[in-house]
Amino acid sequence: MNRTQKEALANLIVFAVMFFFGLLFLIVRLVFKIHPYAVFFYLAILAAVFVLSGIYVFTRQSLREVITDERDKLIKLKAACASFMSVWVMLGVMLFILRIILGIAGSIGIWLLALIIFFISIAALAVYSSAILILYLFGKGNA
Amino acid sequence: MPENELSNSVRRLRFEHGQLTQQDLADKVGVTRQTIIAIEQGKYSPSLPLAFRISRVFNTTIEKVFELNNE
Repeated sequence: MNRTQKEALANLIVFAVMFFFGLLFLIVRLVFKIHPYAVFFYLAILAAVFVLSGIYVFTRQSLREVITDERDKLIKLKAACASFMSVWVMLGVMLFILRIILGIAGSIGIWLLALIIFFISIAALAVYSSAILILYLFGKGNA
Repeated sequence: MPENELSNSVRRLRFEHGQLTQQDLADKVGVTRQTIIAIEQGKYSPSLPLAFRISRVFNTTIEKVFELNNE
């Protein structure tokens, strides 16, 4: 695997861990009423995964190893386009859902808007990383 | 425009030039090994500068390494 593939894979692993442990923490927190500071345990797991993935990405196989080349740049560009398009799709879906739940004149809090933007950003990064891995595996004829 | 219209003899030339590995060739032309694999498999058509660098490694002309199909 080259650096670009490693970065994409590491991103997906971090997102998966973030999502899985986040959900687990929420369930445990709500069911067992654990101390609110237990969130630091979740953050510690995230930090550990982040550091480990960083070591994985930045460890070079050899000193002569080329970090990035023209194909990597092309794949990143296409993945960025896919990610950009996915943002609009997700925003559209989100607006549609809010329209159904709240009605045409409904309103949401600023905190919820910030949360929506945060999750869409994470999802867009996940789409970007997935697109990179898919293009490396199945990309044909520069397409 | 048809896909994969560029065929190449990179794999054959590597073996004719002292069993040059994909990694060796990649290092010489300044790309990753994955890119050399993709070129050999016809999944990626290199840019003109890269095609020239590859042909120079094999001391030959670009036409002898890369061939345009459906001419």
